Amino acid sequence: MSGSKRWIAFNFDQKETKDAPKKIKKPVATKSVVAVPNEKLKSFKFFDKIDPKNIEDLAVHAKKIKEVEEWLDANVINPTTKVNVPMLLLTGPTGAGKTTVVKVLCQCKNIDIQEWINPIDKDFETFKGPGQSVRLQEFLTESKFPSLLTKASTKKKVTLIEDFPNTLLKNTNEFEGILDNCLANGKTCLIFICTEVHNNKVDIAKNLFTEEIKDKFNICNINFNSCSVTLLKNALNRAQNIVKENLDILKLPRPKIIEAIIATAMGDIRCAVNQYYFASLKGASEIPLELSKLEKTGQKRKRVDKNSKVKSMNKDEALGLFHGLGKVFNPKRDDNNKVQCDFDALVDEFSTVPNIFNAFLFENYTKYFGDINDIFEAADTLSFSQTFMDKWSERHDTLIIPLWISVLGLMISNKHRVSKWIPINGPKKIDIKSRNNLEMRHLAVGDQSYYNLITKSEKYHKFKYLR
Amino acid sequence: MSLWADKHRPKDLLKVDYHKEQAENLKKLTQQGDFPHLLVYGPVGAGKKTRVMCLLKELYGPGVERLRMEQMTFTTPSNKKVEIMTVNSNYHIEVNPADVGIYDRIVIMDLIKTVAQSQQLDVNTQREFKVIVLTDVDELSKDAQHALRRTMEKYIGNCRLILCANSTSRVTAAIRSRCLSIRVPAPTNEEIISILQSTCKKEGLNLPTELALKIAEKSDRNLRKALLICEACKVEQYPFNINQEIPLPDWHVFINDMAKEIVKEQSIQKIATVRTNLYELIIHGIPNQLIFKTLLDELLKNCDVELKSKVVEHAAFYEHRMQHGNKHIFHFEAFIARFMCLYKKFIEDVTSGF
Amino acid sequence: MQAFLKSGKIAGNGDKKAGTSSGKPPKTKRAVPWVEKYRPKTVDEVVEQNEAVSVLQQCISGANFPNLLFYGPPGTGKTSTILAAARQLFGDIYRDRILELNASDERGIQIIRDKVKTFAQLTASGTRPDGKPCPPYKIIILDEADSMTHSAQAALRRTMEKESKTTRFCLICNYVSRIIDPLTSRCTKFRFKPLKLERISERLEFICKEENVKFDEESLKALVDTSGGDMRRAITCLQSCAKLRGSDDLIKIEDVYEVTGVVPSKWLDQFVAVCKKGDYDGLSNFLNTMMYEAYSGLQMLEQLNEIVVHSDLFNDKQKGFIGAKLGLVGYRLQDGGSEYLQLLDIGCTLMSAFKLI
Repeated sequence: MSGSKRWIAFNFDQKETKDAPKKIKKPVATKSVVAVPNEKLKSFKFFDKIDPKNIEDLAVHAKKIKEVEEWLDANVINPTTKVNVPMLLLTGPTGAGKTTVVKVLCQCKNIDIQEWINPIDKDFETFKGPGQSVRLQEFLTESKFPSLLTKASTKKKVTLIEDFPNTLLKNTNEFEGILDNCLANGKTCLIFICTEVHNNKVDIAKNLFTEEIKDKFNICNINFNSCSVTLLKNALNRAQNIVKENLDILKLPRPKIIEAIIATAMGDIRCAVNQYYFASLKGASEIPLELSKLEKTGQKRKRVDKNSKVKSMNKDEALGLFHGLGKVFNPKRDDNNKVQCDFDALVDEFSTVPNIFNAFLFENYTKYFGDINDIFEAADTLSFSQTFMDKWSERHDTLIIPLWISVLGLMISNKHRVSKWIPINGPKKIDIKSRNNLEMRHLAVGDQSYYNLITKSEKYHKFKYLR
Repeated sequence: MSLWADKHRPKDLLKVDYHKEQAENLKKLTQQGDFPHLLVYGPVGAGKKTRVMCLLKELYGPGVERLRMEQMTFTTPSNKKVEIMTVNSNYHIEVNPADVGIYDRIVIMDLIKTVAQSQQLDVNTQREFKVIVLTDVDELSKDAQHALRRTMEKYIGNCRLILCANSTSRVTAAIRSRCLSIRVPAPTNEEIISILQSTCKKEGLNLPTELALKIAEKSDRNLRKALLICEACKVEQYPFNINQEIPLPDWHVFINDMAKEIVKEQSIQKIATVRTNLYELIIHGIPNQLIFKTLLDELLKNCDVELKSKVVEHAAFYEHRMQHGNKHIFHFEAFIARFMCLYKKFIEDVTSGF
Repeated sequence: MQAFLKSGKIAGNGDKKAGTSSGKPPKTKRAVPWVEKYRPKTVDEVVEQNEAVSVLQQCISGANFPNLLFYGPPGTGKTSTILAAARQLFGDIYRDRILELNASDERGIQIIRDKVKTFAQLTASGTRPDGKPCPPYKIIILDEADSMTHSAQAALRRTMEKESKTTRFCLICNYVSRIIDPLTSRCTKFRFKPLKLERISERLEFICKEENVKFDEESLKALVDTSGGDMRRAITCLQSCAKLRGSDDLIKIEDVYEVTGVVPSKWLDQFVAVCKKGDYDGLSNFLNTMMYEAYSGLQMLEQLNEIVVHSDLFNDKQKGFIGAKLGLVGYRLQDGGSEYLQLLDIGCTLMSAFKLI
């Protein structure tokens, strides 16, 4: 009591202030449960709540769930097969719900999950390279022993591998060796999860799990499709319900925004939920702006769909790109035929590397031009800016300048604009074939056609003129 | 099966068919105590490689003819792996560093270092140096040439370089001054004719002089090409006929077609098709300088003198730009668009004049 | 490749030992380039360049040695002068007392900081091992200093001041304008003039006699003419000629052209003649032939420039017109343009120049 009295009385004595903070703290700490707006606490709850707890909540096609479930039943719950180490490979695009399906199913069926995570905590120097794969090997073969932390080892167990050491990609034989070892020593079944990527070099599913390996180890492969629109809607509805319960800290986004979110997510449930949560946040002032962008990009999306090539790019990047290209090719002009555009903002908007953007511009500009003289000017500008792009390729800070040249050049020289909608093409990849043949090393490329003539073969390429 | 051009390649310095005096000088060079770095330059198919191989044989004996092809891997500072094919024997190694594009500097530095730091197996029976043959040095980047110059000086003790180039203009003066330059001019048409006939004789064939002349004229004084054409002619039709058609390489026909199309119609659609066709050429590794020159020659056939000089001016301009970076198509297209504009105006002026 | 490298490595170790011990069989007498062999041994031997020579002579006889900056066209004896001076100053131990860095060594700011600093910080005693007195400092020679980056030059500035007790710097460059001001102000500058042709000719004759090379008057003159006052180039060419020809034969004027890469003048005359006719096909054919002969386009341009400048075929207006293009084409050629196209361009320019009056 005496303490609180002292606190009420203003006392600027230096000796006293030393103690003061302690006393102040106490009452605040006890009060906080009630008074402080607990936004943070609840925001965490949102993700906890939205995480699917049972099979019905999963935003994955029922058939796929059933497939996984059946596999678990047959291999883990009641092992019918004689295989020592059953293996399952799940593939699919990001945010299709692969990991979640496994986790939820295991939870329902009371199966323990052990997960391999690439060790990165150690000093990089000592643990890069083979270290990781060796440790993966150890992890896999030793996982049959119960961990010290789990109490009862009577529970069924699966091992989940989503993280693959990078070195395995370079040395696929090593991976086969690891699997061999598992088959011999391991006990628990393995579940591999691979995200589909469009870059062949890093595609784990393609490089590591070749058909031979799948055959050899009897790996069952279940491929997930990206989340369908209905499933996304369902998931967002569930989110909507959570928001409704917490209207004190969250607000309900407009239906139009939800549509835009679904459109932009492109079947990525994780992305959709994140966007939704962002949209439902109260207060933050930049949200309306963000939303208007979303709406726009949502409409643009339809265009993207029609072109398969560009899908390989990162989604956001592709959207920025299309938007940007459209603005450059169809510049607005005022009555005096002057180009009206905020160049600064425009160039900032391209979320792509200048080189790639320039390549896109080059690949597509001709279609938007209506006069050959304009084309010549544009081609000259592009050739000019490309010279600098190449020269400065190592200086990222200055690369924006040649991009400026390209963009302005194209806008200004496009005096006879063709305004219709035309599909966008990605830049052409040029892979020059090299000759690695001892016998033929004296043969210049230009002379290869004679070789064809002489041997009456078609060993070297024949050119076909396209009209 | 081996082509005539490979089969009948001279294996000895004294048996080459032309530039005999030079061959003798080269032979003398191998007999002297100090063998310098060499820069062998001349147009394609003039016999640079043949002379280099003969020279190596003169230096080391027939052992150099046992060639292997092997892949070497280099690591760039940014940890990127660069692979390059090498041809080598126990005594020499041959590389075309331009194959790896912008990483040529690393290849040059590492390769010469590795070779130079290892010495010849038996000092008493062989020469105390190994030879590194670098082809297409004129296509090396400035950086790589700089590195080359440094390594050349540093390791002269136990390795010698033989550099092959098509022209010396793009080889820096620093390198030129450190090498003994050997110019290998292309054989004259007469020389080509006599070689063609002697080769045919060795094959047991009879080649009429008129046809030989026709082949020689089509060969651009490129002996290898002449031999290939001759062999192709033989496959097409034997016994030879004087009026026999001389086949053009398919890419040449291809470029001719392209030029015809450009001259026929100047439109945006045409630019798009030309671009697709250029991609086809580039992808198959036809050197861009060759494309440019052939295309220009073909296009100029349809112009009057004044237009010609205008077009040439622009061609020189864009061709130079093309040497930077690797997006050649940008500059090709700019040139073609420019040509179309010029040509269209030219035609309009001519027709309005009537 | 493996065999090629491996085989060597085993022997490599053994050989290294042989190399360091002086007992290596004399069979492999290492060929010294004549440029090295005939470098002046003393400062007095340096041809011309009186200013620098007299200053250095004073230094050798005991005066204080300043930081030096030598500039001038290549082959005028800049490096030779400082090396000779060092040799005279330090005698036998001069190798330990100088640090020579040229542009081909990696010479970024880091190297300047590390290498130069470490060397500069070594103390130098005032006596030679044999007891004779010698100056108590070291010399760092930075050859081709104009190709150093500005930041590296700036880094040098501090080092130069700090180490002035024990170290002298000698910067050598072609263009003094590329050296930053703070550095030039710390050095005594000497300009090296191109050598007079007679001097080169004298030296070449001397070397010919020493090396037993047979040379006739005409080809020696051609060699001297093509050198353009560059002694190194002249000597290198002489050696190349001698190598190509072998030691017994007389060296002919063709050999000189061959080695120096000079385009024989008949080609140039023909080029101008074709252009004068205004015959495009003739020009194109001529250039193709020239390419087949493998003459260097750059060399051709240089010689063409001489012709255009001194010729009375053109009036000033035409010369200006051609000169502008020559510069452009020369740049493009050096920058990687194709010889045929660039020469075609200059040819077309000549054609239109002939039409200008």
